Amino acid sequence: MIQYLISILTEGAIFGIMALGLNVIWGWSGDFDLAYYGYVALGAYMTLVLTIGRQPPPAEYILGLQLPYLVALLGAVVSSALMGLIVGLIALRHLRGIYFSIVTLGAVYVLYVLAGQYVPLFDGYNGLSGLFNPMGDALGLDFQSYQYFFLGFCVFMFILVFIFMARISGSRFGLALRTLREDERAAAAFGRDIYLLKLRAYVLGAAFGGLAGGLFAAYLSAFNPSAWSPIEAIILYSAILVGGKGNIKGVVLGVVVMIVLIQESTRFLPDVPGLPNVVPALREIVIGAVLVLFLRFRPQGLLPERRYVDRLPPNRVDPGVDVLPPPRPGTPDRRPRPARDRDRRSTRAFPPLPAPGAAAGASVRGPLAQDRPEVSTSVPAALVVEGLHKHFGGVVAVDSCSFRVPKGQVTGLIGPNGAGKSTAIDLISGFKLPDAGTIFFEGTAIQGLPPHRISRLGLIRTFQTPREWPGLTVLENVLLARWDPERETLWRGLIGPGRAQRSTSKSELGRAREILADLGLDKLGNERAGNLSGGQKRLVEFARIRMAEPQLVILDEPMGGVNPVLGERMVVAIEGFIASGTSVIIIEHNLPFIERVAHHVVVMSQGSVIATGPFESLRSNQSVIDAYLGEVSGEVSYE
Amino acid sequence: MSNEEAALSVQGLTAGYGGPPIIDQVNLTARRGAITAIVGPNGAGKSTLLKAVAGLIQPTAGRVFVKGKEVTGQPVETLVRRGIAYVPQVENVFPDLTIRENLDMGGYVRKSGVRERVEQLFILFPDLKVSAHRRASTLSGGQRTMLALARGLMIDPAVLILDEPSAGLSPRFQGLIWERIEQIKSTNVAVLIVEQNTRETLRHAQWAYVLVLGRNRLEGTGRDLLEDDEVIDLYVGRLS
Amino acid sequence: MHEVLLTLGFGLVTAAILSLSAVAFTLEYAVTRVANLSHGEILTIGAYAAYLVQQSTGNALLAALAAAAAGGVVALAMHTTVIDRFVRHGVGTMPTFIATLGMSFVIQNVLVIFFGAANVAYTIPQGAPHQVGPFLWTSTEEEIIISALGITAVLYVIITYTKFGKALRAVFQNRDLARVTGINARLVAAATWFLAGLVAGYAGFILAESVGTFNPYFGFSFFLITLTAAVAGGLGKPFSTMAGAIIVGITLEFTGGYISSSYELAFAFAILATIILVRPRGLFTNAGRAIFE
Repeated sequence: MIQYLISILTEGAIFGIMALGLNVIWGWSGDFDLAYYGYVALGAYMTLVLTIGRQPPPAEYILGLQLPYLVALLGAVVSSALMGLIVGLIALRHLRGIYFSIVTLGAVYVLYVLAGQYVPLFDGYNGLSGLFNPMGDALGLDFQSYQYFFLGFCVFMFILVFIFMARISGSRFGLALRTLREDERAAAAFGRDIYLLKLRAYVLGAAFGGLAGGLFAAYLSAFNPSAWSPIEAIILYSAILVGGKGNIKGVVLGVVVMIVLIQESTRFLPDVPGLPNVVPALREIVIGAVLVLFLRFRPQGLLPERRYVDRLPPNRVDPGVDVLPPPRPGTPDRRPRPARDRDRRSTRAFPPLPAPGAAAGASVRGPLAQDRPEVSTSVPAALVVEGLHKHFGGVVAVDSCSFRVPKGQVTGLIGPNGAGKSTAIDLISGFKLPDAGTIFFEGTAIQGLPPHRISRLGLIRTFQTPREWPGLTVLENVLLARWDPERETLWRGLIGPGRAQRSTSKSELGRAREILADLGLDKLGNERAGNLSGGQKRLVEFARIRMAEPQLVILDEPMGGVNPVLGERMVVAIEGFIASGTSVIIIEHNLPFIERVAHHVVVMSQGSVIATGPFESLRSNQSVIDAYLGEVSGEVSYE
Repeated sequence: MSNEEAALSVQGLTAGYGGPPIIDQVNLTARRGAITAIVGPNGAGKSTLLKAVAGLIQPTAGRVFVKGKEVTGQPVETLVRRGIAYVPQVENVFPDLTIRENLDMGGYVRKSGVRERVEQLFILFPDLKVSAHRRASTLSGGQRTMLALARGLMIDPAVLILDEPSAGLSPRFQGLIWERIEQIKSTNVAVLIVEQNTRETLRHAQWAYVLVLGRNRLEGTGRDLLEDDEVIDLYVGRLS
Repeated sequence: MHEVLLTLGFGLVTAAILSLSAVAFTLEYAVTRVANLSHGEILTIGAYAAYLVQQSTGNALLAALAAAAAGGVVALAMHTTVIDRFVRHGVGTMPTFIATLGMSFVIQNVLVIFFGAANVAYTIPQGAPHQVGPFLWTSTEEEIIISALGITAVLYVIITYTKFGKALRAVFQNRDLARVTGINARLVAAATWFLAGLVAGYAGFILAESVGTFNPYFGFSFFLITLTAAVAGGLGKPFSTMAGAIIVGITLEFTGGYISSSYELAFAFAILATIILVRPRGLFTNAGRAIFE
């Protein structure tokens, strides 16, 4: 009985390490990696070839050294990390979703086939054996005490891994990882190098898989293709999902429930006569079925990911915030992405802002932006676009587009749908590659640079739909707006303060709170950002921008899907950007809003710029009217 | 008002996407041979209303009647057979099919007369006839909208629901679309339309409902609402 | 040259089986946008059904029909109990994908309970190989190719000319718009999965016949190659998938012949990875691959 307990606990500790490693890749970075069990297997194999020495033929395998077990473990970790690096380099560059998963599945099957077929590697189907009581001899333990020792050793390793993960979880590195899972584009727009970050997470996860594999090899004292199957990763996934994806305590709970309890509790069931395989197969069936049920009914798991809670009470209650319509969930979480995009587009066209003074009783705030004296050509340019060109298939979206964005001012970018405004913005911000043309930002050529590099130079953009990081709190969203290369490393995550509240410098936290208060969001600081209404999400985006203090911010249809009541608040926010030295470009269909805030307007139609100047001058510009402003039809004849 | 039965009657309709309702207790009536418009500021729930009436979203409360018969809660594929044609704002044609194939698809529920109907529609939309063999993905925005309209008309609907047909189109095409809509109206179809260019819409509408934050706010003839101060205050800007 | 033709001949047999399996998989995808990781299990169940019927009646034709029927029923069950519910509830692509892996696990182990994990020998008198043009085939292999061609032709007619086929294509292109034209997308999806299941079940039968042995896991291994063919053709496009299957089948036969057939899976994945990295939308389309495009 004791023997049995020891083996369950040992297995539990080993699987716990595996699950925690996989959680980094899936729970935090958001990649459904099917190659994971391959890293475990490789770790096991490598540990064996590094410890069992040279066995007589026909046993055939690589290496065959007799190193101390701990050294071999290190070797296992390194080799799995290396394999992870190779797979990650290939798979993470361009692939996401099912294509990523399929390629990783391929990778693990290649390993599986090689391990089983290519004998010189790990002796094919015979596999490797002979790792008995590693470290036990050195310590002079007999068989019985060794079991306890090894259990202790595995539990010790597990605790180390858990502490490691706990540090990472609350660190800036951990939060940055999560932004990848929540919304990659927004992460790139705020300076994160997605590829590098995901690669780091992937290699890290693979390394822990290797560690677990090394322990597993010692536990089984042998390893061969019948000891593992690539698809067994599903057991780890069910553990993580059931316990709570992204929450390390949840992951451990999941391992206890799925692997330890289910696997082990059924060990005592009697065999059904005539059907010898019932019990083991039944376990797997339960695991698979539970996985499907949880995916449908409780995808967050038993212990959902816990968010950092800001314990400081909000110091201001803004009545304006309470007037907002109740949050409208249902779109981000429930519906598949394509439907969300459809919904978004249906609210793109909307009528203009209430005339100043009509919105919620707020008084008119200052003169129209354009009435301020404009000094266009003598004002230095924040952005210069020259001859920008982009086509998709046969359609030219942006055609020799050139314009200048004056520094320290608000420039409106308007034009009918299909004029190429959004594509131009994608080109400027690095989300699409131009076919031709140059883009100079504060004197630096940025065409062709990836989005995170452009963002780090001080150019930040928003998107047509609010792209907050829904699973993080509002406060976390704001704190992560600033890319901080020193604090976001893995190393800092480990040795620096653990919980987010300590890992952020006090002043940064204070600043974040201040910004939230300014925008009337302080009561929502601990709210999950995904639960906010469209308008509130927009305000969170503005808070992020304020936090990041860019030189230039590009707002892509900020009024889209937003209650007009918020319009005034947005004007204030935009004026705030200017006041702090940030230049602004706004794409908008809401012309009165543009008239209100923009010093300078660029009009695009059919891919090129057809007019620029202060808004008032454009009203009488015939080509602008024709292309966009439009007149009431009926009397005018059309060709 | 005539006592002729309304083609479409909606009472107390409440619907949303799973959370709090986007539209709440909305009433409207659309008559044959008339253009009924739904206007209102952004976030009013106009698109949601259309989707609920068309059967793409299940209402949580309220009733819908088509030609006097109750159809509450029926999904869109059934409502099509009852004579409701819905033209979405985006992704409203099958990109890999030709114009003719798109129209054939529109006639999917017809028991007969698909070919004749296509020919009839080619008379109403001569541009489409010229390009009948072209794939829908190669058409311009305006042509695509025309195709989407024609596709909706394939079933000889009693009610034609249009979700911002002129969105993103040049003023020239907007004018053409309104011409077609007027022609469609004169074939005794009840046109229910949500549009962005409010002034233009109210000029053409026989009857209009102003929706604000998901609820009925005002209603009246297009002409009356065009001059109503409250409407102007609500959202009609200085320029549109 | 003779060698090449022989290998080509064997490749065509593999391609025939592969194309049926791949087309079925891609039809499942087309109509629900779900990459069904438990697709291989439909083949496995088809093989077991055929085996049982073969054992009791000795009639290969009945066995083939049983395989198809079992496949159809299983696929329909998969759709109704899991896939359709997930789709209707708005569960995302990835969780549904993971769920199909879970289903695969469940089905494999159910089979293990009832049939054991051991290999089952499926021997059907194959007939002696004889010349058919430049190729050397047994009569069973001939039947496989002819039946595959026949089924493909029937599918072609159904998809291109029938009202159901048009509805299927409409649902694939735009599910909501299809519903707006009056098509009952759920019904079309269910019927398509049933059809795909018939084809896949039969594919399991001919695969077992051709290989001579099977076990609860053999559908899954073959599925990995199926995936390669389906991605090569472009997910959701039945006709280019058939072309993709032929290319993949023949390629595998050649690499298997010249290197070693036990590495088949590894090669298939090498091909798959290359395709996904270079042309994720399939060999026959022009598609960008940067994740932001």
